[in-house]
Amino acid sequence: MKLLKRVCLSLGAVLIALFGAHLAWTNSGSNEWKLVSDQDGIKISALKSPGYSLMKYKVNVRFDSELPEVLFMLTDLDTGKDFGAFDIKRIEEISTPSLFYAYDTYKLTLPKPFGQVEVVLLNQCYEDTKTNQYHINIYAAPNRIPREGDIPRVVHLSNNWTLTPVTDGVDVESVSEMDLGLPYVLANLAMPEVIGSQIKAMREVMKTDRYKNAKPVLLSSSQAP
Amino acid sequence: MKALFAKIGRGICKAFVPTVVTLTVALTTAHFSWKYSGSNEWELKKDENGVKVYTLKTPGSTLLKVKADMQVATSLTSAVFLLRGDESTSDDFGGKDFTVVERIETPQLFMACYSAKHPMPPPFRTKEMVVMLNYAQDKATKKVEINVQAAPGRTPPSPNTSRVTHLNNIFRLTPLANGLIDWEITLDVDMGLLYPLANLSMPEYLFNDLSYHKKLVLTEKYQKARLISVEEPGSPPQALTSSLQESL
Repeated sequence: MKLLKRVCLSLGAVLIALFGAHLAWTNSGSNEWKLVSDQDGIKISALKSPGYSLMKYKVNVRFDSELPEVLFMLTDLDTGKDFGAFDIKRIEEISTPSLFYAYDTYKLTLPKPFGQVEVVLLNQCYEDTKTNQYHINIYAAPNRIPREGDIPRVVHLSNNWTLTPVTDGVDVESVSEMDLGLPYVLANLAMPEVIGSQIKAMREVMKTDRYKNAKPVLLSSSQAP
Repeated sequence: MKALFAKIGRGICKAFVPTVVTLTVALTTAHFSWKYSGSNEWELKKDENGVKVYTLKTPGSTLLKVKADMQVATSLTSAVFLLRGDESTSDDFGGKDFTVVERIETPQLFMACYSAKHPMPPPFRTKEMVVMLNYAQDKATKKVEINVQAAPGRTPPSPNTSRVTHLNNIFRLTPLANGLIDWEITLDVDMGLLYPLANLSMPEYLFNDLSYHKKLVLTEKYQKARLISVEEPGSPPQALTSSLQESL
């Protein structure tokens, strides 16, 4: 009986401590970007907003590629195959000289024990003619197609890319936030490393034939900048 | 004094701790039972004054999706103008600080990013919505499907607000053979409320919303609207020219 009491008390104390820590973390944050990693020309900053448990991340990097190649990599449907996605499908594609957007779906396998997740997203791309920058915005669109099966679908994903052509390549800024269903402590600890690896993989993949001299849909229907 | 504290401590151990543990176990069980329940099919919840409201429970999600449907005698343009939002109509919907972050409209498509603030009752923070809307009318059927996605990263964070990160609403407007517009709204949004509260209130909220739309769309502002991205049923398809009207 004494042991049961101690277990109950310990459990109660742990639950209260965890709940307190959760509230303290969720309501903390400066709402300002802080540099968390600067390696191999890849700068990663993190931002904690009060009211959120997950952090947002910003990447600044220069790709030594032509603008159409970078645009192609970020908007072509089959790029996902080079980054571990499977069951990739394009649901809808609207392509005009001024704006391209598509609804895509794919699945990802997360590290064990987390299983698979399904992603349905809007991928849109357009040029800001005032700045000559290209914007690629990617947002979760979980209701665009009905659900099939039991694989959880991502409902919180926002990734905004800004591409600025420069003399020797393209300056890229990406601001991202997403909830893949992992515990937020784990997600917050792992994301800077995951994002850094993804950017390195993008730089490598763009050296391959598939991406060299590639033309994205948006630019193939208008003049290259 | 020591004896008194010891007595209080024993009382807490006997009554409070078991109660907390029992409640925690019960609430955790109820939470997981609810979370993984659901048929993934629409179920009719209300059918009144021509407005039907349905809910859908997906296994794995705590929030219900809510859908409402009605038929309205109005032009397609007026319906699209009401549902897609605009500076001139934001006052009709109660949001504050409505801002157009960007907007592109051509005869082929419409895309816009808006932000607006929605004050919430205490203890909840003011909710800020940054959303991306887009549609491309089906020129054969004239049907318009407005997709609304949360775009929380599109603008820098605002102080003292909490931004909606999970929102994917779909507004379907379908011209019918009898001249009416079938008006269907599906809401899937997490406003940061406790989910039992949100699930109980959303069907009624959407019912009231559509009842309001039905009257609002018939007012002059909406009836006079003209949109280059929308063709009315019965009108021939417009020839696309290079002089696309755009604003960014």
